[in-house]
Amino acid sequence: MLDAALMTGISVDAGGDTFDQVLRQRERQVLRTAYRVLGNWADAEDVAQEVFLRLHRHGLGFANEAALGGWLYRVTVNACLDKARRAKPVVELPETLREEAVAEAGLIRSQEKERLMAALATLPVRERAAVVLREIEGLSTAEVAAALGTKEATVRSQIFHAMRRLREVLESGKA
Amino acid sequence: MKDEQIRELFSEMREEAIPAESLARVRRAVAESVPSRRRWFGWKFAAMVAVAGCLAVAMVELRTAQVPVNGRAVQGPVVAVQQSAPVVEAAPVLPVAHKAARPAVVPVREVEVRRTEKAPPVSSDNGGAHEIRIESSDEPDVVILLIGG
Repeated sequence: MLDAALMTGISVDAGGDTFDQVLRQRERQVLRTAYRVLGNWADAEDVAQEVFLRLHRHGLGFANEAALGGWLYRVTVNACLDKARRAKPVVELPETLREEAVAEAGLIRSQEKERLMAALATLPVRERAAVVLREIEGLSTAEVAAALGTKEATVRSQIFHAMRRLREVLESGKA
Repeated sequence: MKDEQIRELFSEMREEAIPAESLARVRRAVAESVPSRRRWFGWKFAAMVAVAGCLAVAMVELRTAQVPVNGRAVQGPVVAVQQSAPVVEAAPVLPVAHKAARPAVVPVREVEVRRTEKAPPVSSDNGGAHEIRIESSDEPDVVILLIGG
């Protein structure tokens, strides 16, 4: 029903069950992106709350699912940039990772992810957002550019510099 | 670490679970904020309707007050009149026309006098003296002569 409504471009006032459906469908995407950009769950939760309140005000009059997804990424990244300007990022290791590290044999793998997250936190926030959207969320360069409000060439440059920086940090063992 | 290894780690991060308590906190926070906004919108809507209603009533009252008294049925206290004496019908009062509306009545005599009046003849032999002769048509024997310098 939600997909049909979105695909037909019906403007649904985000006040009923449809909004709750979108919330449940998209909350992971918003929380995950915010967490990877900001580095801690508390700030990510604040951002997610803000994003969904904005969505409620905006309504669900999107042309299709992709338009809704793009809008959510853009608002999420902007909210993260605002949050990052106000506070220093705090990188924390999520409980799920610790539990997995203990329970599974892939302890080294978890440590590598932990180091990568720490290295990611050393990047400038716009580069970090570009890497998160491109490499973790799997968006195309054009979609990342739209979410960040910049050009595709800028995104390519940001990702190139970010990957080099990540490599350096991981190889030097500073992370 | 190579780029491929980094990208592989990133793609694994995409599949990682989100802490359930974080999801629950976000849902709760949004649910608490959204109904309050709905309530606030409802109160705002009700207030706007009330203000519009008051304005409409005020407009109607103002419009009614501007109608002249002659056009309104004045509701005065009802006084019971007891008729002990026979009613004497008053003579109809003729309408008194206004002075300005009355046509000017010129006495016939004055008109006739004016008709008989002639322009005073100017005599040249009395040294510039004027002589005015007035004759009345009613009494032809009376002639008034006014002689002056």
